[in-house]
Amino acid sequence: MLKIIITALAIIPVFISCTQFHESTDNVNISTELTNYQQKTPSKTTKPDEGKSVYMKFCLSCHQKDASGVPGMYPSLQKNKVVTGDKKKIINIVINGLQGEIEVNGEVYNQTMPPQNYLTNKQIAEVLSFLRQNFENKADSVKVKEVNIIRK
Amino acid sequence: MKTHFNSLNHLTLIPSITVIVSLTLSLSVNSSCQVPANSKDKELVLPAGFKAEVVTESVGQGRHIVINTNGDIYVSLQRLKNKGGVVALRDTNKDGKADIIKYFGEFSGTGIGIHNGYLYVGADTIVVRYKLRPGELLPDTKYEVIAKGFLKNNQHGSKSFTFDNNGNLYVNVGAPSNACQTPDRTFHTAGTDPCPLLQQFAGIWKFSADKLNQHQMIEGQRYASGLRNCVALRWNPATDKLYALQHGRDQLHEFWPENYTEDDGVNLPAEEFFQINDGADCGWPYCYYDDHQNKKLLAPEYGGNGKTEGRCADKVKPLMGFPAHYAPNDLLFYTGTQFPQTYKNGAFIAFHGSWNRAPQEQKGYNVVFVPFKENKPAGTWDVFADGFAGVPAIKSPRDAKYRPCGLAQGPDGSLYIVEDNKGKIWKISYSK
Repeated sequence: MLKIIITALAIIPVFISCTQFHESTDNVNISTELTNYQQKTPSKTTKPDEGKSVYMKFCLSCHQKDASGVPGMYPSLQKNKVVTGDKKKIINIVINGLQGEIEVNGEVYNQTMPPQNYLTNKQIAEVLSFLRQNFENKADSVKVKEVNIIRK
Repeated sequence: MKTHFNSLNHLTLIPSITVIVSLTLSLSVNSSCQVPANSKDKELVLPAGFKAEVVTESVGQGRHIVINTNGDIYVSLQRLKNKGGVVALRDTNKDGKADIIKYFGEFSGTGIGIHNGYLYVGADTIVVRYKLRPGELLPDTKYEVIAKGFLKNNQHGSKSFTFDNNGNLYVNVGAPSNACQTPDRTFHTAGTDPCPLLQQFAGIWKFSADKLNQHQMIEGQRYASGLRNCVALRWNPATDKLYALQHGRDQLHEFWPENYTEDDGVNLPAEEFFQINDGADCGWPYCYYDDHQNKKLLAPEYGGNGKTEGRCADKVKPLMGFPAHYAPNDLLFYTGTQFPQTYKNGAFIAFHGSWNRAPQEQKGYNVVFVPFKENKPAGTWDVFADGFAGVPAIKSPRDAKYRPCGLAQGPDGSLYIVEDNKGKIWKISYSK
């Protein structure tokens, strides 16, 4: 009897954890997926939808839909101090790309990021604003005129 | 009185035991909802009759692995750990677990192998060897340079290698590029034609296994070309031929969406499993393999559209294709007698798992088996070991707990698997 009670009680959390798993692994579209990662109070000065669509089209294949990157290759953009740091630096990274070994949050990455200079200044401002206010990043938005100054 | 006290004590323990059991089960199942088959290790899923034992949990980013005739294990590390590029492990009490673990050597990388009493190590720009000392776990500290002159790549830099039966060494020299575009990996950029990278990269170079200080471009011979990156390569002793698997190119859809849908980008091109002869041209960067059409097709960087064969019709075709972006990182031909007869001389392949199937689920974090008859695969492939990722669906590579990377056969015919997230090593054995 005792054995039955223990088994029954033990099964409950097992069942719950597996159920949760299946729910979270259903095929959801990328838009919903990304929304789940976003904070719910976007700044008034940003246009998260535009930034999100730039991210989905041009950044996601390497940095992944949850922005967690690829270990050893592409850095995670979650809780990333470069992303929330100096705007000139990140605008330059997008325009010129990045080469060589880098360390982000204690992890080493080494893979080329090609220049994304086909993006318009508006798209760069939007995607950087999106990154700075999502994926556990909290910083002000990047304005188009700030990109204009760097890429005259 | 004594009995009564004991009974009471048992009763009060019931709720706490229940909670502990529940919590333990909840935690362990949370990381993996798979049921292991006859396995001592709770994580790997194997065919009936096979069991996995954990040799060690986390030695560092273990890439390739080799086992000496006395059972000593050597693993190359992606990065130096404890000032060593190689980790040596010994099981002194024969319980399956390594109880001596030592780090040594100044070179870290992927390649590792034993030949004629030496331990060879392939760092990204050099292949060196250390003399093994009988009975000692650690080799001589002095190293000799075997092959040098490899340029530093910031992608596909692994210098994995294999030995033939005639004293030669074959080294993978991957391309520092996706598809020979300048700049690399950019939207609608044509490939450079001819691709200049083929001179010093994107092939397998042959060296003498025992001659010192050979330069890639002087003494080294380009044995095979048109191979983007073959981390998995192995001389098959049964057929006396070289085999290798290529990491196929990425991003067909991202850069050429007019001819490749998102699904095409996820499912193309196949990872190719080649038997490679002297002088083989396997087609990179001009060609890729479409396993749905069973054709080598012209890459979009060179005018292809998903249908045109063009100059690719006469390139070496693979023996077999694997799903796109699975990233084959090691190949082992099984020569032991411990496993059932089906496995004899067949190929185990360790797949590192994809990153380039986004936004769809990432896949291929497993070890597969391909039965062989004479020179060729006999039938299709099957997943042999699974459960490495630890989650039922991998949304991005960081979700995966382990990423299989290296394979070795032990003296008793057991199969060893190393992964490079934490450096866990499993010993897989079989009993009826």
